[in-house]
Amino acid sequence: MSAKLGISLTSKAWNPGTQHAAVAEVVPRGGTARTTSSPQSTFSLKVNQSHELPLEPGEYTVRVYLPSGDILTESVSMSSDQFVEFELPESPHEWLGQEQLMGSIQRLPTRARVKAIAESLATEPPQRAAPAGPAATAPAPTGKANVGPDTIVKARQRASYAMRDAERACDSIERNSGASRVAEIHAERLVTVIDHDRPFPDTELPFDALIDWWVGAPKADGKVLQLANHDDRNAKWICPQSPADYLHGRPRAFASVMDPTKRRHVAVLPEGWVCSSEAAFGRPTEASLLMTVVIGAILQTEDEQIEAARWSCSASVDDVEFMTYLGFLYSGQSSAANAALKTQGAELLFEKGMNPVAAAAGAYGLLSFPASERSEGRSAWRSWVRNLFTRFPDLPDGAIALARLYLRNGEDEGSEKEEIDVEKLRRYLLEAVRRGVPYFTLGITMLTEMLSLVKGDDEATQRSGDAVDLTRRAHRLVSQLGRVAIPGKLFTVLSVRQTPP
Amino acid sequence: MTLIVDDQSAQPGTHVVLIGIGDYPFLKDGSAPPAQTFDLHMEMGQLSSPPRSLGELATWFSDTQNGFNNPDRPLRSLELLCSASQDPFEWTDPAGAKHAIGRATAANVSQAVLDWKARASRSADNLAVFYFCGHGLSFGESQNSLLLEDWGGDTNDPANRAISFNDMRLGLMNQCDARQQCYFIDACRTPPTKAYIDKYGAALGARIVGGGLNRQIRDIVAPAFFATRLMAKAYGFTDQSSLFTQGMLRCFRGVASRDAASGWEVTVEAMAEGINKSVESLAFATQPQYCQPLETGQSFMLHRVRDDPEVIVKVFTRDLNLLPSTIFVHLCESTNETVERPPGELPWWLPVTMGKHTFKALAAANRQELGSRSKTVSPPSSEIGL
Repeated sequence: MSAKLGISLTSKAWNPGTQHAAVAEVVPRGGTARTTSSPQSTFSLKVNQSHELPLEPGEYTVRVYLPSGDILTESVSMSSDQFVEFELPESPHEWLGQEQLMGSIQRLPTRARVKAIAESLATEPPQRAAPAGPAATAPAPTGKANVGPDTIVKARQRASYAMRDAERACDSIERNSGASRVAEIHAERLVTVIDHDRPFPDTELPFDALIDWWVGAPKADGKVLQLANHDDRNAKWICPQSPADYLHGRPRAFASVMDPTKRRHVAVLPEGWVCSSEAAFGRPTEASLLMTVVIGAILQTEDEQIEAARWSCSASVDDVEFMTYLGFLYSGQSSAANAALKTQGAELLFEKGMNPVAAAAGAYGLLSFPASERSEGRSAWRSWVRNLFTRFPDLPDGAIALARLYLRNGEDEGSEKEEIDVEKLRRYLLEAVRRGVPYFTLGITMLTEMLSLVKGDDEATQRSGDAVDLTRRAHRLVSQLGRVAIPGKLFTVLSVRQTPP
Repeated sequence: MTLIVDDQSAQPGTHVVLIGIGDYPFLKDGSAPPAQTFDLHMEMGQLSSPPRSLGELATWFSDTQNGFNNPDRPLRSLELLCSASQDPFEWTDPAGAKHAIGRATAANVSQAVLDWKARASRSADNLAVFYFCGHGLSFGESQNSLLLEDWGGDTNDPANRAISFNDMRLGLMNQCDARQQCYFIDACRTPPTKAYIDKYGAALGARIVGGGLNRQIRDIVAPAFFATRLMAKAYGFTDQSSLFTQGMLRCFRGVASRDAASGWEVTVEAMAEGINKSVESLAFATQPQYCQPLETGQSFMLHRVRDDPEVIVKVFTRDLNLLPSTIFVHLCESTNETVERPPGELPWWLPVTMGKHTFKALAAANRQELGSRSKTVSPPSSEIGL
């Protein structure tokens, strides 16, 4: 006799039941699988809407995966109907709801936290058998707390580092943020066209020239973006609606932002976006740009002088389900990413061609999933990736995905067991470089790795010729691009410090 | 180089190489004569954490009673290299035997990697584990350089004494037959200075294993975990093992485990989140972007937890202003043991064994109960707001 398990994900900031913003997994508790007949279940969750699941009696673990990489867990004993509720982390403002969900907004240290840690350091260790101050150690096998003198010393040392970190961070935040600092941010929108025939330089380029090489020549002067919302530490711009051909790679939109510390950020703007989630498939939506203060340096020694707080730039689209999928992909939660991709209507994504950029992200996911999950109901997945390459000849991520497909899986089932044709792989990779900066940071990582492999193979086999030379140049360009690309950003962001002329 | 274990078996198993470097003679405050100190040391100096981290991890891998447990791929070989101010670094195995560990110079590390590759290639069903703890430089997202003991000793080309990690990994994916490979990189990822790049360019180091292209790469799963994507001293605190390694060990105790029919299994997919939760509990707050995973999509089991897994619990008052006047009480319902946390201004992070626990908040002034919650907690973590 099964009972019902209700699961809900709540947030005061979200409208009920509109968006899948997390993935839930319900699984028989470890070691108890043989006592129940309910299999593991993984599905997308909508915010503020209960999801019901029939389960056989038994013990279960319920995990909710958030696109920030965080995981919330509850355990349930199913002898009768049960209900578990999870809460999304609160956002400082409604206009930062999606960014909070994605983990783009950091909870920054405060002076109160510095004081709290200082007070914990000043407190005498407890006399009773209780963990020392705010920290604790691993439990002894019985579950007893283990609080030896060494543990207390270690905890106090960690607390003293934490206090120094928090103190430095607060100083740095105060120096670099605030209303006047936000007003100093200058953001422009650039529209560029990438010339596929531009030469691959034979030497390293200065960073500004490198960025120009990858993003292409502006069609006109940049237009200043108008700030939509801000507080002392966050500023957000909404980009104008553009035709969907901006998603085809020609033309392309970028934001060029100068932050108050004179660092220049160039962000891919996914303009012309059409929603990829099944429920709103094809609805045009806006791209936005966020500048937010983050802590970028921790655990410094006393003599190190790296500025702890800095401005971080990121672009996103008002398409929660797509961004959720992308978040899982970047945080390495492939099962959750696969479940989230199902809400994207993967087949529609590839077949309709309305959003090739989202389709490329779908391809990156398919290429990272285990084979058993990848082809689940998607027998044509390889041809989807091939079509993306041919139907969108200006989309760099389509070429990267095809190269990756060929390298790791073979272009079709028949070729999976065959040796790799290095010239074929080279063609795809050089084509990807010609198409310009990838929309996704993940694409840069893949491109760098694959070009390293081909370059290594050229060296190992002592190949020479124009194509080999071009590969060497492409590898240098991509390696240099990797030096200015900000790791972990979903859409690509390049960042360089401006040196005074 | 010190080979601690090698059963010579060609049956599926786990082959591990651990490298820890705290002593860098040519860097700041190093033991080389001052005239030989590398002038572009970029403030990198001596580290106390890597030898400790290596020792703790070696103990865990070799402890057959309480440590590594992978029934499909038991430990078949373990090799250690360690550069510490104590020379040679002495490590005591779980049976009490002392081992003098060889130093992690460029020559020794190259040979150790090749030997480890050969052992790991004895069966395609092997799991090969590589761990490095020491200084690192990051020239870009996919361009990480691991600095070996004698880095800075060759001022003509410092990269001769470093490993180009990403290239080595690709080489091993092509040349090492073990279909499961796992890399843990516990090193700083700070960028080199302009002065360094101007003088030496962006050479990353030796590949050790070259990466020609062959179809074997299609069969290999090779996730990697980096300690940080921040400009941070990844290794952490003086005379303690690194934050990342402490996080790894907590993950192995169960924080990164997932429910399986036979119990709790630590999987690749769960490691990054597990390390992040552990670091949060050790550092009293979220350390954003601490562990960065690479290619963890195709998950596999690293370790099966022997007992109930460890879970990290964060206990706090929903009104944070009440923290300084609140006593927290934790009751483990399986052992009936109680511990108390006196009033403090921070939340209480404590690791507990998976199972049912009761948490209470009491007013410090009169011990009146402000809130109580009983909960069965499961990996990776649980938040108890009272």
